[in-house]
Amino acid sequence: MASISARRLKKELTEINHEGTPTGIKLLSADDFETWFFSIEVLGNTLYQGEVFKLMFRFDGHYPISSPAVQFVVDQTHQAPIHPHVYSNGHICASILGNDWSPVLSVASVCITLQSMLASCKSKERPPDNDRYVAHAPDNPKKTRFHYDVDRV
Amino acid sequence: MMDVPDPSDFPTPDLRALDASLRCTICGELYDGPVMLTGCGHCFCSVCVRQHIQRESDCPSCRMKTSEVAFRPNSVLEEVVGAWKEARKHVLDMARVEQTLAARSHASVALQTIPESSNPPSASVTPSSARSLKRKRRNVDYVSDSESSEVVLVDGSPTPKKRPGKVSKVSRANRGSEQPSSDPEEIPLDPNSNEIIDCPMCGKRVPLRSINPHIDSGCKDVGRPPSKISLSPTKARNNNAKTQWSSLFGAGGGSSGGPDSKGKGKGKDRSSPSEIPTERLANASYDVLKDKQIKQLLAEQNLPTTGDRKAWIRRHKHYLIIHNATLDKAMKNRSTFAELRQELKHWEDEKAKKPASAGVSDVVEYTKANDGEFKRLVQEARRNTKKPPPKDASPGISGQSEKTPSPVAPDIPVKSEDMET
Repeated sequence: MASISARRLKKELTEINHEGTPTGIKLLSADDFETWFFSIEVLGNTLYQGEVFKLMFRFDGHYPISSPAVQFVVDQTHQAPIHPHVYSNGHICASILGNDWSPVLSVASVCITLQSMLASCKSKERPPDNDRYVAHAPDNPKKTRFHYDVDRV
Repeated sequence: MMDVPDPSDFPTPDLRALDASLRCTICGELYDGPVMLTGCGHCFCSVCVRQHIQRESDCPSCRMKTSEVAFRPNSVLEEVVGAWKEARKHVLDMARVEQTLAARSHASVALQTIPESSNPPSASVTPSSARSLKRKRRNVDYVSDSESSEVVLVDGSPTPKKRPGKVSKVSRANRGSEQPSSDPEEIPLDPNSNEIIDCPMCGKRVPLRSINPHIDSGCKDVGRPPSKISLSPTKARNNNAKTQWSSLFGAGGGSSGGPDSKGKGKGKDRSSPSEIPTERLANASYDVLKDKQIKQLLAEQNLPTTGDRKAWIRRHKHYLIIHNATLDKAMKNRSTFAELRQELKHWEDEKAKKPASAGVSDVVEYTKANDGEFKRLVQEARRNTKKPPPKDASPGISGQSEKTPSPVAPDIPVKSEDMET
């Protein structure tokens, strides 16, 4: 009997393989139940037309009771999207990844939320405190206590 | 990878929806001791929602404020899930057979009639279906004449074109008197008929009345009377009732399980009711308790007191969850104290495993695999020391989470203000 988190993730993986991912989102790798990678692009007429980003999900043993650690991957081939809620190190300030996480949410629903967050963006800019945050940011975005404001973007 | 039962096991969307609707939206398993949240009415496994409630006091589905006092055991749903657990495998087998049939046969009618024929015989003895029966007979006779079953078994789709008026009348009459069917032209076979038909699986000639048992048995037995099959559900129900009564009356009812059987045979032979929790445990405010008092709490539940204060609290908290969760189940489904302790141990072992796998196990292998990344970072660091740091301070370093030995202590929480203006 595997742990609850592994069983739940296995089910989500089966569903992704079975039903497919939403448009613009592709599963890149899910070799274990700790780290998954997705590619995400925003389709249609948006500021991010033609850009493809890479998302990393990290799960701990408490998933789905506790949220997964989700961030954009920044390496030679991928950059974090320029967005008022996304830091240049890939960390994302989104309430559903922190306080507003609910165990009924899933990997797919997080992807869709982030996709719509990008799609609704009206001006490409970094968060105002980007440099200060990035200089001291912890490795895991879950260790950051974000301060969520009313979404005006 | 492990095999985890899932709605996607079923080939058709309706069965997938049925299976999914009986699963907890937190863990994705079939409901285990379901509780309903009074107020919003959402249902979750007791263990799942109790774990959630420790972090957030709201409903995971709709975020309505809630608390433990709002949980009500949903015994009807528990029974439904129990019955579905039993039936699931059987339905899965039938659905798969049906799918194989669909793949093999071009005629869709042949497979639609198979679930239909499992109706009790009395249901089809009505004036209107007698007419359809006549039609069916005619067709089946034709089968035996021509020997080309593939073609003639199709009696749904081609016929309406020949006699549109007549057929629509028949089908309307059918709909009135029988179970609703998705296919208006569908005509049930009479399960009591003495016709001999070709088995759609193996092609053997089988009496129509025993086609179901025949297919269920994997096309082995030919011509076993269906009465034997229809007997078994009642028998099972009787047995079930017996166990329910014996559990009500305690160990007295001649149950064979001695004291050795505890911890096994959940819900079957219970040696003594005193081994099943009957009273809820109250939450403790650990912060105001001394070490000794917490140890006392653990001792009261016969739990080990190994580890430090943090471990004791974690253990006691989780024990409270599973203890109170098992009380949300029907008597026959409850875990014994021994089973709860076993479950707690399992949970602790599982949690203990996690940090070990998060670290780097093979340093040499890890260095080799990430050699390119290390070199790139070194390069970047050298470049940065030469020129003044750019405005966007080296995103590569802190972004490469897993692979990079981060120069920043990872535990410093950063509070960022008004970032979303």
